[in-house]
Amino acid sequence: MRYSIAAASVALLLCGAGVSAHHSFSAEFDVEKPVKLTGTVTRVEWTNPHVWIYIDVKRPDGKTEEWGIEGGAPNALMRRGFRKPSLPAGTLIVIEGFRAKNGKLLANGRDVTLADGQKLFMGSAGSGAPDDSKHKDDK
Amino acid sequence: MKWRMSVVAVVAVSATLCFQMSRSSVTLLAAQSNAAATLATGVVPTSPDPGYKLPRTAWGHPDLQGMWENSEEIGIPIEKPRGEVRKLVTQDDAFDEADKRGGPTGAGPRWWYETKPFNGRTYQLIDPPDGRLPPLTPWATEKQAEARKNRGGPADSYLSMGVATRCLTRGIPGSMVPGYFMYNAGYRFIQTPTQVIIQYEMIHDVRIIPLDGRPHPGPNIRTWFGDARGHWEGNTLVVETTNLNDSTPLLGSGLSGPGTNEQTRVIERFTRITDGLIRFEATIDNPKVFTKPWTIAIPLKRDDSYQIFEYACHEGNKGVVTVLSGAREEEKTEKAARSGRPGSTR
Repeated sequence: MRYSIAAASVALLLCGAGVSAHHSFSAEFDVEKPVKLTGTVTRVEWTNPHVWIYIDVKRPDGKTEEWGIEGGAPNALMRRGFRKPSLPAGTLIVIEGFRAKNGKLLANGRDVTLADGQKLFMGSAGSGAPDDSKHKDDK
Repeated sequence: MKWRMSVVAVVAVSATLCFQMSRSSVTLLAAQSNAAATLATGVVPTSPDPGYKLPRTAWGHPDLQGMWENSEEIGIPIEKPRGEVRKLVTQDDAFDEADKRGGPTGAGPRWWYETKPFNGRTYQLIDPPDGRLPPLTPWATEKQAEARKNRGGPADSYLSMGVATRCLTRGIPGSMVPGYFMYNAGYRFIQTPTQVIIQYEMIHDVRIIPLDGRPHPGPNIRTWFGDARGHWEGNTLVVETTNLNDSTPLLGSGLSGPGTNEQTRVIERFTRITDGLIRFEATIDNPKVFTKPWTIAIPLKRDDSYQIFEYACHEGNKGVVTVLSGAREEEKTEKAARSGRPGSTR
C-alpha cells in the first residue's frame, strides 16, 4: 500500500500499484547508474530496516571519498550468516551496485566481494535466496 | 483449485524442495505427508489428515505455540492474475509475474529477499471463488477516483508513502501476509489459558488476543492494530478484529486493496493441519469499501530454527530521506532541462 494521507486514507489505499515505496529500488536508486567501487570499510551501521556499509574509495586523482552502501535487512543478513564483524574497519572490498538518485555518494550494494574472493549478500543465482545452493558457497 | 500442477511439475518441485531443504526440514517434510503434497498444488489443506494427533496445551487447547513462517508466500499476489495463469516453479517466477503486472516487488531489490523453496501457489484469494476481489462500493469507487485525481507525486512528502514504508505497521491481517514484503516473515505463537500472543518479526509488532469473551471497546477507540478477540471453534482459533483506524492498510504494502475504517471487521482462522503446517485464513468484511466480504488462505510453516530478531525499523530508516531527496534532484534536473540550462552534475 502506498498512500495513507489521513484525509482520504481509504480511497488512497485503494490506489496502490505503480507508486513508489521507500524501499522501492527504482524510487531510491538509478538502475541506469551501475557502480563498481573498490575501497576499505570505515564503519558498518548494523541497523534496521537496512544495513549500511561505508567505504573509503580512492579516486583516480588520489583524493579519497566515502561512499555509503545500503544492504538488506540485518535480520535477513544474519540468517545468511552475515554478521556485523564480517566486515571490520579496514577490510578491502569491491562493491557492485547502483547509485542513489539523489546524487550523493550512496549506492545499493548488490555484490560485495572480499579480497579472498568471498561474497556477501549475493544476488540471483537461481532464486538469489539465502537457501540457494550457490549462495551457500558465497557466504 | 483450478491451477493444479501436472504430476511431473509436482515431482520436480518436490525434488527441488528435498534438495534444498536442510536435514531437519526434510524430516519435517516427511511428517507432513499428504498435507504438504497438497500445498504444492496451490491448495492450503482445510483439515488434518485422518489420524493426525493434534498436540494440545496442558489446559486442553490445540497447541499452536512456537515459530512459524511463510517466506514461501513472498511475491504471491492476493488476486488471481488476469489472463492465463502460468505455472510458477520458482519464487523468481512469482517475482517476474509481479514485475510484469507493474509490480511492485517494491520492498527493495530482489537480491534482498528472503525466500524459501517455492510452493508454486499463484494467488491467495479463496472467496470469491473466481479469485478476484469483489466490486467496490459506489462510495469507494468515488473516493478512489477522487484520490487519483488529487494525489501528487509518489515522493512529494513522507506522507505520500505507505504506513509500512514509514515503519509504522503492516496492519491486520497484512502483518501475516508477506505479499511484497520480502523478508522477516516469521511469527511466534504463545498461548495461555486466556490469551494468544502473536509476535511478528517485521516491524516487531505483537498482538495480545484475549480469549475470555470480553467485549470490544467503544467505537471511539480506534488503533493501527485494532482490537482483537479470540475464541476456539473446535480445533480452530478464530480471531475477530475491530476498532481499526482509518489509516491502516489491510494487507500491507503492495496491494491495490482496501484501507480500514470504522466498519471494518477482520476474521482470522488458524487451524493446525500437521505438526509442520497451520492453515491461516483471513476474511475481510469491509462493507464501506467492498460489496462483499472476501477471504484469503495462506500456509504457515513450522520452523523451529527460525530466530526472531528485533526489527527496530526507525533505527536507521534512511530510505524515506533518500527517496525524497532523489525525487527533488530529479525535479531539478527536469527543470534545468526545460529551461535549457545544464542540469545536475550527478
